[in-house]
Amino acid sequence: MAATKLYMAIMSFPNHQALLKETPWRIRPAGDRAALIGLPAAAGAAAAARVLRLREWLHLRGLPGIVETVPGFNTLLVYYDPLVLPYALLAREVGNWRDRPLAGDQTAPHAARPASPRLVRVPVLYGGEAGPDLGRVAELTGLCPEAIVAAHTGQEYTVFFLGFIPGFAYMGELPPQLAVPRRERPRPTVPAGAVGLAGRQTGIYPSESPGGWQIIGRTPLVVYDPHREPRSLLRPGDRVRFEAVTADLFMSILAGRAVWEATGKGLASGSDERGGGG
Amino acid sequence: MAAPVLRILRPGPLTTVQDLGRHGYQAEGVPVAGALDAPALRLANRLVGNAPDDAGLEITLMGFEAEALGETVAAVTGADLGARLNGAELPLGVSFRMRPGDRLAFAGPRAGCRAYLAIAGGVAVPAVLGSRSTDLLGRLGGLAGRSLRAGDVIEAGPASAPLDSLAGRRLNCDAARLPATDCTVRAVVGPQGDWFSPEALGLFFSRSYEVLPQSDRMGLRLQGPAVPPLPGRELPSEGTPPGSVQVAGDGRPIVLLAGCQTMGGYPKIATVITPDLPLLAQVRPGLNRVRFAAVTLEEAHDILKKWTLWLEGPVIAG
Repeated sequence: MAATKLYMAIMSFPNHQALLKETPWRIRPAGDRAALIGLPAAAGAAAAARVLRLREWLHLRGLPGIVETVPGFNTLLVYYDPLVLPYALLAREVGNWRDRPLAGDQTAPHAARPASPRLVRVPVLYGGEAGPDLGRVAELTGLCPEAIVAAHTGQEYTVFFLGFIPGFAYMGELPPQLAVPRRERPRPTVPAGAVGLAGRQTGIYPSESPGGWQIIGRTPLVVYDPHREPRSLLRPGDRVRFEAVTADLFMSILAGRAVWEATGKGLASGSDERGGGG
Repeated sequence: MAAPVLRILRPGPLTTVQDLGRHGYQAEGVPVAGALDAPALRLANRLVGNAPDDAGLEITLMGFEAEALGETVAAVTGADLGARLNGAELPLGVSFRMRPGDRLAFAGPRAGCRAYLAIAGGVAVPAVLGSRSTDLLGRLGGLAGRSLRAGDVIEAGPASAPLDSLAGRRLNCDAARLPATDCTVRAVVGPQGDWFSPEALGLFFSRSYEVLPQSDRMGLRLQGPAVPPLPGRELPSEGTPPGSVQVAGDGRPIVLLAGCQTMGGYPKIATVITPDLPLLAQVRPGLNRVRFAAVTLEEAHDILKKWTLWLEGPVIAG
């Protein structure tokens, strides 16, 4: 008896895969108030970008009953009010989305306008007290600290999503030579601004919290402040570049004596200081 | 104009300021938080003439003691934790006057796990991102983003009506829906139901689980028949609603509650339906056993409709 009911519960996933047959997306219920939309493709920058285009398209559709949407590596979790928006209707809407190429095709009715990607420059003081795991990462990777800093600062990263604690931006992908596991034992506290590595991701702790990532440096920027507008320095889809700065410049920025133009061209307020190595 | 109404003498194991949660910011990593037994807080608020989503105190298990600093009206709902006013037993679900010097205490749990104290005018702490709920991990909201300590002073806003008219009000329903010792909650299979073998699904939906003492506002850790996911797959982090039952390689389910993080990387065998989450809020580690009953999405939505009607209906007697 119970087995039959269970079987029915499993088999009754509203069969909207047929509606989605022209798209690679899957949709499944996540409980009674959320729907998980997923791309079976591997997580990575391309999948993350598609998730964000779907997210923006859904917001532009303005369906009543969408409460909020939460992007993941290759998923979008849609919280909805089923008393306003039936699951079947949400699934049909997702099935209608055609992920158009970004450039040129402005005539397609469901073309998502791409958000203009921003480049965010993040100053980092590497090593020393600011990067207590830099030595450990050197052991794990076989690279010297200078090479680690060069590799970390040598490319742009994509912000995949914010999660886990307010304002924590998951960014990737690290070059393979920097891929390191999390610390075996998380630290009970990691300072705000700590820059870390875990797997193929890099991230910045927005506030003091326990932390298991390998901390190689620290940024003086405030990456998340719930009382500021904008609250978050980093948004999903942003491109991020880390830049090594000296301890002096780190302190100046932290103290408000120097202004760092994270999304502009360079340092404002007259200072010519640029960081050298860690 | 907020005024001091209560001084915390002893906070007990965990007392926090909560309202009905912080919605709309999960994409920034800000969890919803809020009262784990939301209907209980709503009822307490309505008893004292507050808006249903005003902030109150969520009190856990035992040991809480406070002294009134001003004239107010309050109400306690949710778990029966042995509430006493100046030593005399205080009934749940009835609003009562408090005068300066009155002592409110909770002798110990008789049924359930979390009680809700509403104060006329609502607990006055700054709203952060539209809510007064406390996110303990992110240290946002509530009283300075933390649980209450001895010496904390709680302020309340102005009452919505003269205090005499707010005292002595009763509910026309129970002050909480508390779980049976062996309780069953309903859940929709998945979203990663297909990551588990039929045997694991069968076990999960038929056996009862103990609740471990490491359980907290983030989730209930369960002990019982192991139901590991099929090996060889990693789940990239995705949004995790409260109610998600996640299972790591060790096969032990964890049911996430409103204090959980916004994202998770463990497969979810099932997701508990919204109306049964308050039952889980009242489960006591070491006492209750939890079973899961599978429902279809359609059934879940029928249940949700009826529950919503009840939640928003008239609850004050007379």
